[in-house]
Amino acid sequence: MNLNFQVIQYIDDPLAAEGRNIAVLGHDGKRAYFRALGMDGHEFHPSHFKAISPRTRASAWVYNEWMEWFRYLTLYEWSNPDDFHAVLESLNKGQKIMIGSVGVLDGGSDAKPEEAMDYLFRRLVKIPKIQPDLAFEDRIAEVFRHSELIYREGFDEDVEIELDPIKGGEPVRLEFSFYLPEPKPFGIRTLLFNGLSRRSLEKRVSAIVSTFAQAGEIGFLSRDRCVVLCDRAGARERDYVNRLSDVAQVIDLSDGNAAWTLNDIFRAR
Amino acid sequence: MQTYKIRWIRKKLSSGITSPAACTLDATLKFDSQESPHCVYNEHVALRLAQTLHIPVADGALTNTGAGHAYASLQIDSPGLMLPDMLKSQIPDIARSYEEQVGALVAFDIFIGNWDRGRNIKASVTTPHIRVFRAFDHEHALLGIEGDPAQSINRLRGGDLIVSNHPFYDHVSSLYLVRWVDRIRKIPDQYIQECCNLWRDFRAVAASFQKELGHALCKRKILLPDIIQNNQHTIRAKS
Repeated sequence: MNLNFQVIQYIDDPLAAEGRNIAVLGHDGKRAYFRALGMDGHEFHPSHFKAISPRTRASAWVYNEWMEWFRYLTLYEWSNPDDFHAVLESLNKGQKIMIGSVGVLDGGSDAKPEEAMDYLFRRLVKIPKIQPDLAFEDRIAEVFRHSELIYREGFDEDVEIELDPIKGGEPVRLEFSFYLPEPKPFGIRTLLFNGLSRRSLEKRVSAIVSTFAQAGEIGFLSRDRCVVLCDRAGARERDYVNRLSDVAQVIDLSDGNAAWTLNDIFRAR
Repeated sequence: MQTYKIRWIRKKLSSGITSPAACTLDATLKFDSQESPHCVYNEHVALRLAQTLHIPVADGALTNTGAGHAYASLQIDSPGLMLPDMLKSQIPDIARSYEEQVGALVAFDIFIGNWDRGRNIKASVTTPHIRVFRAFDHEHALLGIEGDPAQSINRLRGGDLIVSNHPFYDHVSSLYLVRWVDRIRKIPDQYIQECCNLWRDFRAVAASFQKELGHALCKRKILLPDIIQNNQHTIRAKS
């Protein structure tokens, strides 16, 4: 089996023009194959791309769009090789994602292309070290996918809502990590205990408690529509969890049922 | 809401409550060429028509380079990376996710005779809470349908479909297509004329041609429901 392969590169800094290998695309004349950083079957781990450089954090969703695009290309467009190659050639026109080196892997007559692709991916694509904050973001994304909240109308992230105060004065500004307006407003904040100093933790918890307490006071959100997504709390964090539980429902994302718990809370009337 | 890509913010212009600042947006420059002698005019007028009708096409602006007027098509914003152009195999998913926008685009492309839509669409396909759908590239519409602009105008006026292939044929919802055709049909003639007329010769496009194009489009908008009806077998809209 001869496997023709092309390495897909990401150019982080166009001035430096140095490409980083992020994916491998291969074809054996019968079909095409694809392996990419952060892709695990149909699951996507944004952390792998976010960890490449500070620039990539905000563009992880676009990277996911690109990887899905390559998946479509290899699954469905290989049947017309001329179009397939024309599309690939169009990539090298000033894009930050482009074709790097090309080659042929002679795997011998017994070799399976899927295994050859796994081998090439391991050899050519370096997986960056994933810090706990990025792993936590992956878990949040996974919980939103599995709970299907991300597919609901109006789902949004990093939302700031300005509300009129009840007794006059300045408008109240509430910040949520995630927010759903329908059928009843539903606000979510996230908190990673791991790695935070006591002082930072105190500050973060106070900010979250203040947000949900204000939302309750002005009648915008009741406690059952307020959620904190966090990692597993240790003994020193128990007091913080108790404070958060007074104003919101706290979900430990290390719990395998976190997605269902979140979905149940969202659906509860 | 569509945003466009900032290259850099240069400096704050003056003090004030809105804190104005000078910035540079990324754009793709398009020029007239031998193969496409009316490209800049076509792009500019297609944008004016699309903006009048609220069709989801990428914004742009006329600009000047050493060779004279050029059209700057603003690059759609996505952080760090540009979205890829649509693939053929993504068409069914995109048509399902953006039914209204697809209806608008098919109606508009038939209206302006854009037979070369191809893959010229940027859309978010797998990120449900980030909605992006924008079409670009209109050099083969309007005066660019045929090599000779007079023939292009005749074809627009004559009521033939012109767009014999379109990526969203067989996928567009008939409900939205009819709705957008109706919207185009109701646009006042004066608005169409104002979109087409630059009130002076513009590069290779004489003012008289601009006026003629306006008249042809005013006629075409009336014929549009019949054009759709008579070409159902080609458009194959989904009920």
